[in-house]
Amino acid sequence: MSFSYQVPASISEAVSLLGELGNDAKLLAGGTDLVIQLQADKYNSNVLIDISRLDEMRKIERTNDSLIVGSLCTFDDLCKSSLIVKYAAALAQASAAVGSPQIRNQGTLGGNLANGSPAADSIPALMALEAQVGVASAHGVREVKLEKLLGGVGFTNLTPHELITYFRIPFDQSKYSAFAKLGRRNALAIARISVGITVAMSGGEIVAGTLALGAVGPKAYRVEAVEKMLVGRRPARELWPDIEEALSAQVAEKLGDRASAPYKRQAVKGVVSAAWERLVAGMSLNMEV
Amino acid sequence: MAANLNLKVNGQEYQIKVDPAKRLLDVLREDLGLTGTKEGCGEGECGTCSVILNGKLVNSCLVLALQADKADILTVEGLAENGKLHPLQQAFMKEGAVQCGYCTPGMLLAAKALLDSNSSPTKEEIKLAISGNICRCTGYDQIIRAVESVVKARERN
Amino acid sequence: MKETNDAVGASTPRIDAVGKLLGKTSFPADLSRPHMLYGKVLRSIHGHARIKDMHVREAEEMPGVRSVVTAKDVPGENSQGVLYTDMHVLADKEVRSVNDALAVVVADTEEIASKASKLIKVDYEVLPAVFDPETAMQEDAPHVHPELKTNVLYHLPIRRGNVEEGFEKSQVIIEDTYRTQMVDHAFLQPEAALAYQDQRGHLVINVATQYVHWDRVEIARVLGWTENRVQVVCTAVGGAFGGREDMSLQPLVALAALKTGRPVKMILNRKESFAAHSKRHPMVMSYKTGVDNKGQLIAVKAKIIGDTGAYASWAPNILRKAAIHAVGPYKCPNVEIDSYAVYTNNPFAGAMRGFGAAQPPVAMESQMDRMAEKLAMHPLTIRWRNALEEGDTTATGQFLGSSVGLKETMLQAARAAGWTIDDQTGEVNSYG
Ligand code: FES
Ligand code: FES
Repeated sequence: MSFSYQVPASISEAVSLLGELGNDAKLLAGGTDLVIQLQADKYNSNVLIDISRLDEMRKIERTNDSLIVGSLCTFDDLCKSSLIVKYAAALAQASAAVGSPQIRNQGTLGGNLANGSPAADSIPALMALEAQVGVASAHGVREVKLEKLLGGVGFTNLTPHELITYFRIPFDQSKYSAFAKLGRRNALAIARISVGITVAMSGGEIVAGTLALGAVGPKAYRVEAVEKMLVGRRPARELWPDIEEALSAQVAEKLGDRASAPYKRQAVKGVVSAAWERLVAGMSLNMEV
Repeated sequence: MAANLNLKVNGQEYQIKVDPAKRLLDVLREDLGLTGTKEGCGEGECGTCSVILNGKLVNSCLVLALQADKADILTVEGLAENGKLHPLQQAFMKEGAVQCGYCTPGMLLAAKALLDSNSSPTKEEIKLAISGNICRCTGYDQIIRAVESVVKARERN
Repeated sequence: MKETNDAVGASTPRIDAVGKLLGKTSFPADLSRPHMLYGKVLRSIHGHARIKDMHVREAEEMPGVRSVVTAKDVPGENSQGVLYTDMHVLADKEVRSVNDALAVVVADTEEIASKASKLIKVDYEVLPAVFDPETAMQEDAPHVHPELKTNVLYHLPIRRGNVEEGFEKSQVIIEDTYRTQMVDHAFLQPEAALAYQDQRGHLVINVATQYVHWDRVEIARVLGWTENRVQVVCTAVGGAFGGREDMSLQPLVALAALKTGRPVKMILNRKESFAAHSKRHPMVMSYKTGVDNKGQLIAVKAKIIGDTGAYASWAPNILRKAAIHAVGPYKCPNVEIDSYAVYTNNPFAGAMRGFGAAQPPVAMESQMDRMAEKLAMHPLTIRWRNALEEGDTTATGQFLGSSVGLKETMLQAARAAGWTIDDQTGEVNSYG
């Protein structure tokens, strides 16, 4: 393996490099996956573009109706950001569930998406939060719905000339979110199932909800049938069993006769109820304030 | 294609030429002779290669050396000052937190990174802070006790 | 005398702790010598195959490669093993598991060695393999070591009393089969070794090992040298747990240093490490146990099959230990135990913490729980009623003359769980 190493000084430099090189180059952000690939001799580009120190992509800002989260924010940045904790709890919780302290210090939100892992922790959270993704190229910036970018195992629908620069997460005060994941142990566990969930409340009732599943099938997805069931309910534990059943049926259908199906069909109920408990806890916390 | 790399490690400045494919871990061990940092898995699972890079705990097996250009790095060799063991090192010794010693450098730095950002962590916070570091010998109890004892000593002072 | 008293029961710091805390202690990968080369092992990709041909030319010709060491370069015996020398150092005709090493590429850098090792082409003829010990025991199973004409390496029968009569008298009988899996030691420091010839021409091997003196015997045998010309220096050992009792890199690094005349270092990555050392024996344990209505064990019949993989390592000793521990720490007058060590084409199994004593409790203690349940008895009560005490004879016939702390331990465990045990009846009450 031999390649040249480029360190652009700005986003515009980075995208113009990408524009020139395209498939010939790869981006280095946190490096937690790329460096392993390099070691395993699986790297076959001629140029490595190190964007890891482009601080303009490592900010978290709030506008009237959205959070703008730079794609180079590390998971540690995210789980410690008061803005994220307050307005996008699911993302904070998902970030805290990533890898280990070391990995959270290194891994980035943009990298998590770019990698195309079906088990990426941040994706179901971002998806439930209905995030848009800011994608830059030499031709400018476009904003795309997150779902549109998910390709499949190990790839996205980004072109080789594009760079993920930020995530836009809409928020409003009546919305609550949570995330939960099932791994084989607490630290450094690849998700077997993960779930992101949001609900918008009015007069103590759920008026709209989203629910996204990760690590069930090749890419994360929203479960609309279940989302509809949320509407009109009060957020109490007793109302939940039929939703667990509906999700379970959904997972069973998705996984078909895959070996993991019988296990995940059951386990998803526990995962979603854990997310639910967190969500309710978040609500009561907020109400006390 | 070798490139220039400037590093500050344990307070010392280094300027070397490295292959872009080299990991920070390799540069520390091979180019700088700092073999206190160990490799246990090479893929971010064990934490034996942990160092503190610009104040953050990282796995040096997952950092390309050039990514650390101009960075300030602390390795296990930089913990003791003026021939005096760091309080964490003393506590590890006293509590029997060192057995084979292979995880020790990474554990010490994980604990150091915690104490740098949190002066009185709880037991749960200590556990979380070392959750990226595997120890196959001790069963962790002694390590947790060692960190707790440093916290207690600090609180007393 | 006084000093002795002070030491007993005192907690003294380890003398090696300081070096480890400072990062100064050397593990083998930390060592270097001038003009040192690096070695990389090529291992089998098949569980069982005939080696029709091996082409090393391309690897040898890669710039930076100094040598490719193969079976042809073994001056002494091409065999190794702690009890039986049934494993090749470098295979040339046949591979019996994915542990088998075929060649060591020695080069100026690790990267070159690793790249060159991928250029070696091996023509395999894949042979029928057996990966399950019960299948391996059948008449028509392929033999892992054909010269033995069986895959059963070891059988220990233990008979005491009459189990059939025991079962007739039993109130509750439970019968089932339990399986434990293969386990890796996963010591934190992957294998590494450095070998060089000193000014006398003797070979010095720096390695993290559990068995310095035996390493020397094995290396000398492979080199065809007298032992006095081989010096094994044990560096700091980054965990072992039984996984460093067999040869891993020792003979390979010695051969590489000898052939090139230069110091050679070899460092395994985690994946290679998994292929280079033994595992805990997976065991298949079929148990039939019977108790009377008071929960007293009357008969235990156990068949324990340990999968030793392609090589013996310590299998007979480990399966002997498994048999001895088969009934657990309980009294039982009627016992029939058969324990077997069986060859398969799996990665080889050997020593690991407990050395055969860790697996049988999975079966025996499950049996105890299930018998207690059938008798509507507390699980601690059934154990209390059968627990060995001073003056008892174990199920395998050992008289226990002194120092049997089982009941005391149980009392303490019970206390910690918030239970009290009636000393006489073993009845358990919970408090708190
Ligand atoms: S060697 Fe870096 S985490 Fe294991
Ligand atoms: S002391 Fe051996 S791995 Fe921790």
